[in-house]
Amino acid sequence: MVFCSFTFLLLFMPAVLMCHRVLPEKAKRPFLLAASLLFYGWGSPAWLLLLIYVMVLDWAGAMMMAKAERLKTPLLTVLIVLNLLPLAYFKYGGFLRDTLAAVGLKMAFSDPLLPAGISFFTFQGISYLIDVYRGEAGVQRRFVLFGVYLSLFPQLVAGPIVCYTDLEEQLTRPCTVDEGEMREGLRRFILGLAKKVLLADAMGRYWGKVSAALPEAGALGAWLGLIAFSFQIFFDFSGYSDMALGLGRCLGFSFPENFDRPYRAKSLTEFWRRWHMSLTTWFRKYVYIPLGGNRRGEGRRNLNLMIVWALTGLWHGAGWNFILWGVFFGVLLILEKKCFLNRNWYRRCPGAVKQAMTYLTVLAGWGIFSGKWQVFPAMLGRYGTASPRLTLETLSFLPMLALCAAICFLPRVRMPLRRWMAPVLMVLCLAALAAQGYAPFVYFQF
Amino acid sequence: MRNKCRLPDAAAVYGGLVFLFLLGMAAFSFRIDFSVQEKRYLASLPENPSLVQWTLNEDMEAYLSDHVPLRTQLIHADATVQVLTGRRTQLGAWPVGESIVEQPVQAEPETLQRRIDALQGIAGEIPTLFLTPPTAGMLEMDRMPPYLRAVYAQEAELYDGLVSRKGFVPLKKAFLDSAKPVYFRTDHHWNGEGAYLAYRSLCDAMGLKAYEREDFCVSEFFPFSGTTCSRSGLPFVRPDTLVCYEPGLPLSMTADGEHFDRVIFPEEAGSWDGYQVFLKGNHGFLTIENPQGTGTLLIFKDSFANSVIPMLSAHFSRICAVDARYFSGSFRQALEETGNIDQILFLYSLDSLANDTSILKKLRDR
Repeated sequence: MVFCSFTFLLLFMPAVLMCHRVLPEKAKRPFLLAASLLFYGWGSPAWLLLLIYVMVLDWAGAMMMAKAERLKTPLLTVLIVLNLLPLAYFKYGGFLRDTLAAVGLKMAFSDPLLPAGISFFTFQGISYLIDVYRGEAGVQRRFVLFGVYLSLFPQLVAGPIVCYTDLEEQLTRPCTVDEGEMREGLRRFILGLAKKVLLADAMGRYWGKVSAALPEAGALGAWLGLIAFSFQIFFDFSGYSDMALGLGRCLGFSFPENFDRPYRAKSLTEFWRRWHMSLTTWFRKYVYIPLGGNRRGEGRRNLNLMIVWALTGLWHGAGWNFILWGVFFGVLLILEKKCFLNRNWYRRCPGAVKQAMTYLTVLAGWGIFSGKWQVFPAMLGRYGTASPRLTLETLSFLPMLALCAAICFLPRVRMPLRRWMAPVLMVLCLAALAAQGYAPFVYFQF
Repeated sequence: MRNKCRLPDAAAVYGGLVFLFLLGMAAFSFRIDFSVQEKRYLASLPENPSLVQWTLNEDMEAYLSDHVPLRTQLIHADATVQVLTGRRTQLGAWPVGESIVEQPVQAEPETLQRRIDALQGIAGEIPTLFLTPPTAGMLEMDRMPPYLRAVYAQEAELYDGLVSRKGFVPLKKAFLDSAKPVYFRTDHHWNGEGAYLAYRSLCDAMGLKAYEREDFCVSEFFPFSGTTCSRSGLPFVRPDTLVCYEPGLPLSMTADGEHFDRVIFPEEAGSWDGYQVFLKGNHGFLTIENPQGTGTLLIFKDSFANSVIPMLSAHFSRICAVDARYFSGSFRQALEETGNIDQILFLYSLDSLANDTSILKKLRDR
C-alpha cells in the first residue's frame, strides 16, 4: 500500500487512526503490528513473508546474542549477513549480473520484483542488532514491540530510518497522544501528501518529458529539466518523510526529522547535514565510526569517507551511476573540507553565492544520479535549440518551477491562512489522485 | 478584527477522518457501471482474489479511483488547477479560446506517405480520392499565443505536405475562409458547417453538383458535449449544437447485419454519445442504398465521414463504408464484398492516418 492512494487515504488511514485512538492501552501495540503487517502485505503477500523473516531473525538473534556473550561477535556477523542476503538478492542481483556481463562473464539471473521498503527495514534491523551488541540498547523480549519497531507502517516503505535507540523508550511507555497532537500530525501528513502529489509529481512529469527527448530540449530546457528533477526528488522524499512523521505523531511516536531545507545549505557539508539525515546518521553510526572515523589520521579518514559515500550511493540504487554519485560527493566533501571551509576568502563569500554554488554542485550530482548522461551536453547547448513542443512544455511548467524554487530557496514564510490550508490541500490532493485515474476512452476519439 | 475560527481539535480530527472514511464507504455503496464523462465502463469490485497472482491491491485501487464520490467534481477541480497554473498541456485536450482542441498530431512525414501509398495500392485502377481535414488546432492558430502556435505550425507543415499529393481533395482554404466555425467546441469532429463544406469539396472533386443547405432536411440537437470536453476534464464548458443534413429520400441502411430505413437517429442525441445520431455510430461495414441515385461509392473511413455520408447518399445508388476499427475482414475483402465500385474515397483524419494501427492491420491482412 502507498500513502498516495485512495485505499490508504479513504480506508486504511482513517480506520487505523480512529481504532488506535479508542483501543485500550494493552491492545494498541498488537493492533499496530497487525495494521502494519496488513499495510505491507497489501502490496504483496509474498513480501510479508520477507518482512516476517527479518522480524523473527533479528528478534531471536538479539536474544541469542544476549544469552551467548562469547559468541556475540560471530553471531552478529552471521545475523548481518542473513539480513543483507535478501537485500542483495532482490536489489543487487540484477546489477551484479549486468556488471559481470559487461566484462564478458555470464550469470543466470532473472530480476525479481523489488519488495517495497526492503532497504529501510533491513537497515533498521541491522541497527537494532548492532545497538544490542554494543550494549546501547536493551534486548526487546516482546516480539510484538519489536515487530512494531521494525514494521511500523508510517516509516516502513520510505523511511526515515529509525534507529532502535530512538524508539526504544517510546515503544514501552503508554501512548499519550491527544487530539491536539493528532491534529498537528494530520496537518504534517497533509503537507507531505501535497508535496508529493502536487509538487513532486508535477516536477516529475516535466522532467519525464525533457529527459525522454534531451536532444530536443535546448540548453534552457535541459537546465530547467534537471532543476525540476532536483525538486522532484526533494519533494518526493521529504513529502514521504513528512507523511511518516505526521502519522507517527498521530500514533504517539516521535521520529527524527529527515530533511531540513537542504537547498538552503551553504556548503556540501551542510547540505548533507540537512538531506536524508536519518541515512547519513545510520552510515556514520554503523559504518564510518566502526571503520575508525577520523581517529586514525587524515588518510584513513578520507578512505573511510569514500567507503561510506560509495555505499551511500549503492544504497540509493543498483547501478554504477548511483555509486558514481556517491563517490562524486565523497571526493567533493573531502576537497571542501581541505580547500574551502576553513579559508577566509570562503568564509567572507556572501551567503547567497555559497548557496548557489552548493546547489549547482548538488544539481550536477543529480545529473549523475539520474543516469541521463545526455543532460550534460544538452545543458551546454550541444544539441541546438529546443523543439516547439518542448518549448511549450517548458513554458507550461514555469509557474510550478517558480513555486518550487520559492519553497526550496527562500526563507520560510508564515502563511496567513494556515488553519485552512490543510483541508484545501487535502481536496487538491484528492483531485490530483482522481485525475491520475481519469482515462477517457482514447479509442473513442477516432 | 481577525476572525478566529478554531474548531475544537477533536471535532477537526474525527470529523476529518470520519469524512474520509465515509467517502471510502460511499464508493462501495453508490456504484455506477458506466461513465458518460469518460465514455467507458468503470472498474468493477474485485472478486475472488488469488494469493498466487496477487492483484487485489491494484484492482481495489482501480475500483476506488473509479468510484470515489464527487469524482467528476474532483477531476474538474484538478483540470482547473492545471490551467490556472499554466499547465494546459497536461490535459488530454487543450482549451484555446472558447474551444477545446486536440493535442497536435506528431508523425513522421515519410510514415504518412507510405500509408497513403499502401492505401492507393489496394484501390488499383478504381478512381480514388483522399480527404483529410485540417485539424481544429490548425484553424485556431491565429488566436493562439506564439509558443502554442509553434507546435500547431509543425502539425500544419505535416498536413500541408500530405495533402499536396495528387488525389487529395483540397479543404483547408474552404475551412479557413468560412465565416462560421467549422469544428465543434467540445468535440474533435467537424460540426454541421464543416461537414457541409467537406461535402461540397467532395462533390467538386467527383464532378457532382452539390446540393445547397436548404435542399437538405436539417435537424438540430442540443446540448452536445463531445470528446475534447471529456478528455480535458474542464468544467463549465458551453455545449455545442449538433446539426445534421440529410436528403429527404427513401434511404435504407444495413449496418453489421441490421436493417434501418433511415440514416439519422434522433433518439441517440440524448445518449452517452450524441454523435451516434449519424448512422447510429460506427460499424465495421455499412451499406446505404438510394433508389434515386447512380453509381457505387466505397468509403474507407473513420468517424469523420459519419456526418458527410448522409449528404453523399443523395447522389449514389449505393454507398458502402468500411471502418477498420470494427471491420473483421481486410481492406481487400471489403473491395470484393462491395463489387462494381465506381469511386473509392479514403476519408481519415490526420490523427487516424498517423496513429490508427487498425488501418495498417487491415492493409496487411489478406
